[in-house]
Formats: sequence, C-alpha cells, structure tokens
Amino acid sequence: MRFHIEKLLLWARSKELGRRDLAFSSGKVNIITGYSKTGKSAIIPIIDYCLGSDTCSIPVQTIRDTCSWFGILVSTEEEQWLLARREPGSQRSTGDMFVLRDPEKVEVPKWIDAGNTNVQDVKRSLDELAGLTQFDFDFEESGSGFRGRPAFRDLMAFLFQPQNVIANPEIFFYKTSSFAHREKLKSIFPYVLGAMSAEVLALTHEKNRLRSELKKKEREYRKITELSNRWIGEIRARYQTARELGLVQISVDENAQPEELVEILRTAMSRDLSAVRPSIEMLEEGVEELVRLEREEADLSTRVSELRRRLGEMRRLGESSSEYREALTVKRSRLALSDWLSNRIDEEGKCPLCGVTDHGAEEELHSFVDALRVTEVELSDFSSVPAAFDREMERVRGELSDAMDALSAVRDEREALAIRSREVREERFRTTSIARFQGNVEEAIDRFDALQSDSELVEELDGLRTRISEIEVRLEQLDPRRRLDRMLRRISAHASAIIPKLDVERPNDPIELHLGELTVVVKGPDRDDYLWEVGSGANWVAYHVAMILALQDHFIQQDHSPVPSFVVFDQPSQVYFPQLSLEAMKRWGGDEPDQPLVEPEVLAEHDEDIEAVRRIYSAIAQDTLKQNGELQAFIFDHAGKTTWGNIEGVHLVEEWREGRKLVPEHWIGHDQGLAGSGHP
Amino acid sequence: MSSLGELATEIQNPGLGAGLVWQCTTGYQDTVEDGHSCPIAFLFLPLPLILHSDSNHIISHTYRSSGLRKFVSKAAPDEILSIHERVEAFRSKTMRSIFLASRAKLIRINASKAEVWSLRKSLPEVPDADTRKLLRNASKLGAWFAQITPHEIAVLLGVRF
Repeated sequence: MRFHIEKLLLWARSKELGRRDLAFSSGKVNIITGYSKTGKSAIIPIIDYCLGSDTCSIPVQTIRDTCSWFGILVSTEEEQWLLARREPGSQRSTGDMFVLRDPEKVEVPKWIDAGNTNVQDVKRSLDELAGLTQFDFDFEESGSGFRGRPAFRDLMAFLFQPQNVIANPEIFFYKTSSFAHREKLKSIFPYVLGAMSAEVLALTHEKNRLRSELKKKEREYRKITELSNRWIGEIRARYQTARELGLVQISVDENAQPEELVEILRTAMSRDLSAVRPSIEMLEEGVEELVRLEREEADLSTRVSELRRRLGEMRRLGESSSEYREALTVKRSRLALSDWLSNRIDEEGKCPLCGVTDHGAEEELHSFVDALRVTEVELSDFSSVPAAFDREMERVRGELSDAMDALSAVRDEREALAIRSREVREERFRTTSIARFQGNVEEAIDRFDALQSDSELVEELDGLRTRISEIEVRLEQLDPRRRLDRMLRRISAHASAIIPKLDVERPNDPIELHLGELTVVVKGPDRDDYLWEVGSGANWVAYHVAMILALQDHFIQQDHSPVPSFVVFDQPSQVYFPQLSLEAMKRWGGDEPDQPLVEPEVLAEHDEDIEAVRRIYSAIAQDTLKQNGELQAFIFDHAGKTTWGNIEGVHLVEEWREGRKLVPEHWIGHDQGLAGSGHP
Repeated sequence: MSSLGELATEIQNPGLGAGLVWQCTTGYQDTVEDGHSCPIAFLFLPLPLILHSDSNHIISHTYRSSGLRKFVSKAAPDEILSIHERVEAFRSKTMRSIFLASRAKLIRINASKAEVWSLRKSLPEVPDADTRKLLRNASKLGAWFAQITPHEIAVLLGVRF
C-alpha cells in the first residue's frame, strides 16, 4: 500500500529548543550520507519505534537524552498521519503516543505535552490501514502463537535492511533473528505475497474444522453400528423369553426382521400387567387358612380313628353274639382269675403277691387262690349279658361316615388351598419376572429407537462430506499453491534481472526466494546454494538488495498489498569500506573543497569498490524510478557524492559531516542538568 | 389328654397302676358301711376302666354320689360289652400293680380272705393334674363298688368273674 515517510521529527527536551524536521521525498532514493556516530543508524529504530515496536532500539545517550518525543509524518493514499511516541527515559519503552490524522495536511505541533493514544491502539489502526485479515493460520487450532493472524508489525521485515542485516548471510529479513518472528513470517508469507487470499484462509479454516467434526461423527457412527449388531443378536433371545413368559403368542420366524420383533414386543409391553398381580393380603390369608385347615384335618383324623376302633369292637362283639342274635345277648365265660393265678404260680414259680420265687409259702398261696375262687362264685353267677347295641352301632357308623366326609372335605379344601398358594407364588414369581423383563425390553427398545435415528447421523455425515469436497473444489480453483509458485517465480525473475547489475561472482545464476529457510537460493548449473553457502560480503549485499527490491516491486504490483511502499538500506557499502580513516572518508566524501573530489590515488586504490558501491546505488535508483513514484527508498551510508552524485533518481536529504548530525548541535548539552530525566 | 406315646408309658407304668388299685381300695373303705375290706377281685376293674379314654371320660363326668348305675346308663352298650375283654387283657398288669402297691405298703393283702386293706389315706403331692384325675376316678370307682351289691356290680359291668 502507499505509505511514504514525508518527515522524520524530533522534539527537544525543552520547549524553547522546539522541533527538528528531516524531510524526505517520495518516489526517489533518499540519501543521507555522513560520518559514523552522526545518527544515521538511529533512523531505522526511530521509524520502527514510531510504527509501534515493542522495544525502543534507538541508541541511548546523545539521541535519547536530547529528545523528548520522536515522530514520523506519513502520507498514505487517503491521508496524512503523524505518529509520535515519547522517549522512554529510563524505561525500555513506553506506550505513550501522539497521533494526528488529516485527509489533507496534518498540523504538526511545535510541542507535545502529552500523548493522546497508546501504542496498542496505534497498532490496531495500522492493522486496519493495511487491511490485514482477521483470520489466523492456525488451521489445526493448535493455539500456536506463530500461526496467529498477520499483523502490521510483521511487515517490518520487508521495509528495513539495517546494517547488521543487509550484508548478513544468515539473516535475510529484519527481526528474523528471533525465532518467534521467523516462524510468524513463514506462516504469513504466502498471505502477504497475495497468494493466499482471505477467502482461501476462511475456506481452509472451515475445511479443517469440518474434517475434525467428520472424524468425530464417524467415530460415533462406528460405535453405534457395533452396538446395533450386538443388539440384533439379543433381540431374538428376548423375544423367546417374552414367549415363555406368555407375553407374546406369535412364534419367532427365522427370517423375521429385528424391526418386526421390536414392534411386537413394543405392543406386548404396553399391556397392563397390574391386573395380573396378586396382592400380598391374598397370600397371607391363604397361609392362615391353610394352618386352620391342617389343624381341623388332624382333629377329624383322630376322631375318625376312634370311631373306626369302636365300630371294629362292636363288629367283633356282634360276631361273637351271632348265635344269640334274636335274644341280643352275649355269652360270657368266666374271667376265672383264680385259675389264672394258680397257673401263673405253677408256671413261673413266683409268688404273684410278692414276686419272690420259692419263699416257701405255697400253703398260703393255695389258700389265697381258694379264697378268691369262693368270691368269684359269689360275685357273678350269670352266663350271658344283654347285647342290645344295634342302634348304637348305627349311630356310630353314621358318625364315622360324617366324620370321614368332613375329613375328606377338609382335605380337599386344604389341597385346593395349597395348590392355590403354589399358584399364587408362581404367579408372583412370574409377575416379577415379567416386570424385570419388561424393564429390559423397554431399555432395549429405546436403544433400538436411538439406532433408528442414526439415519440423522448418516445425513450429517453425508452433509459434512459434501461440504468438505465443495470446499476442496473451490480451493483447487483458487489454488494458492500454484499462485504462490507463480508469484515466487516472478519475484525471482525480477531479482535475477537486477543481479547482473551488481557486483556478484555469478551474475548469470538466477536467485530464488526460499520460504522454508527465509533466505535466497542461488541456482547454479550444477547445484543450488543457500545464501550462507555463497561466500563474500559483496554477494550477500547484492542478493539482499536485489531480492528486497524484487519483493517491493511485487507488493506494489498487487492491488491491495498490506506492505508499506518504502524500503530502507543502511550501510550497503560496509563490505567494501568497513573502516575508513577519517582522512579517506573526508576525501571520499568531498569535504575538502579545495581538494579534488577524489584523489586519483584513492580512486586508484579503491576503484573497483567504489564502482561496486555505485552500482548498488544505481540499481536501487533504477528500480525506484521504475515504480513511477510508488516506491520510496532510503540509503544511509558513508559514501559521498562522488559515488552516487550523478545517478538519476537519487535525492540527497542531508550530509552529516563537520558537526551536522541527526540531533542539532545546540540541543546537545543544552539541558545538562535535565538530561536523562525523561520528562520535559 | 397326653399324646399316644405318653399314654402308653403311663399304661405301662406299674406305679400308676399301683396307685389306681390303692385308691380304689381307699375309696371302697371310706364308703362301705360295715367296714369290711375290698374284695381283691374288684381291683381288677380300675385299670381297664380308667386307662381307657371313653370310660374314663364318663367316670370323670359322673358324680360320686350318682353311683355305678348312672355310669353304666351313660356309657354306650358296646362300651360296656367290651369291659370284660379289657379286664382280661389287663390281668397281668393289674396283678403287678397289686403286688407293687402291697410292696409299697399302700395296701395289705389278706390272703385267707382274698381281701385288701388300704394302709394310707393320701400320697404326697402328685404334680401332674391328669394323674391326679386318674387317681380320683379310681377312688370314685371304689366308692361306687361299696354302694351296691357285688352281684349288681358284675351284672352292670357285664363281667363274669
């Protein structure tokens, strides 16, 4: 984007000293030439500081002691911006900034009392100005800081080539000595080049998000399918159980689909089973009744036996009196206890009275038996007894019959009750089994229904897959890879065209930008060499300058490049003239007016080197002119007019020799007492 | 009434038998007017009558004063007819009971007259109520025997000595 620095501004510590302006021109190569320690190398840090750097790299002492505020006046497509930042004093940096914006011309204040914004806000505004995307490059959402969204600050890499970078074989871009900045730059490079549009970023993000969602859903689907297969095996077994429990009548068809079985089961489960369930009370009553009946049965049983016995005795009597049936009498024979005793005595030899054997009282025994015989006669002399018990026998028979009926009835009742209780128990068991089974089946049916809704899941999966392929198609159309390659080729071509104009060993070997290493690759006929594999500072400077210019050319060609359209080269001649004696510098710079601009001897000594430096200046100037005012270049160096004086497109800003420097002489030492205070 | 097993033991128990014959003698003695002894033949009646639930039951439910006649009228005819057989069946046991009672000095046997005399009025406390009842019934029987003529006893009970 169009972003040129019109002025560099310094505000002194005390108000009366006011402000120092350093004005630049657009569309040309702005040159500041001078001795060392005049502040040439402070300019890049100052610009960087005003553009919101985290730390202040402006050299301490002279410059920082004498200034209170630093600023740049910038012109963009639409407006002018003043970006000023307070000198940090004893701190490493300060966020205190002063910013003014105007569509036409900003009134730069003579004095800044206080800031009106902070560096965070300024950075945000610069991001907006550059039109940088909000998307990050963290497609896998790793949370890595290096894949964060591109920021204006990241673009400084393309603007500045300070003296420690411009001839550096290891480091090609400004600030990429830091690992964080390196990685960030690598991430955003394709985007910054314009190979990766915001649309591509958005689609890539979406694709990755959908991919991980797809994976998740596929896992879910697999799990459900597994469950489903297992469950289909179970369902047949459950159906069988339902049949056994009497819940369903239809038998299982070999080929019945799970769905059919489920429907039948579902209907079976909806039947109201509560009516079937017997109550606890019913059971308890049954038990009481049973006990009562058992007791009754025992009593009746005893009675029946007694009656049977009586009846038996009566029958016996009846038999013995059969001859006398008409008379209904029974013949009685004598008990004849005496005879019985007598026999006992003779047989057992024991006294029946005292139980002693042979006690020599046979006399008494025999007299006893005789006496007994006499009483027997007296006691009873009848021979028959009345036997009228027919009616009794009938009565007893009737009683026995009744008792047996009652017993039978009680037994039946008890049996029935026992059966009923067993049935009741079985029924209870069956009901609890049913209840449990019901629970199982309902759960299984729920699972089945859930499986059916996996058709939703299938739809989701299809939807995801479709969208992902749509995105892939579009990305292929946009083809950032191809665009990037194309762009890199163009940039390389441009750089390779500049190379022959510079002092390099292999002017005909083209160079390429290697994004992976963030460096330049020199493509020889046999092999490719990284920048650090190529020797000589002259090569390094040349490759730096060529590639940076090529990149700027590319950015300017883009419709909406976020990269500011200026570039600063600091000390490109360092490889040729690292140490110049003041003497030689003076001469080289043309300080001695009465001396020829360049002494022949000096020229003779450094002919090639001066020529080389000149070629650098020339190449930069040519490229700048080609851009038709779009590009603004800066070169800060020792090299005097003699080197570049007559190159088209250069503009001398200031010469810092003999007391002239960045900081006005009269500022130094003015506020001796106040130096380093940090506040005006 | 105790269970069948216990009853069997009681019947087998000669001690009980001895108690029964002694009580019968005592009952007779206390009731008879002219103070003569109980004929030994009568002692063959308590065991078959008392150790038989039906007849024992009727004895329990007939007053001492009502007499043997009342007892017989209450009993079923076939019951009476079976007494004779039971007396026969209990012969040995009764003999042993008499012997025991004699040895225990509850009764004295007058061998020459075939009569028995009770030596004691009462036993020490018998804890079992059922046994007490049985002994009381035996005493009741003895009293009934004393109230009527020997011939009437024989006829009423259908026993021919």
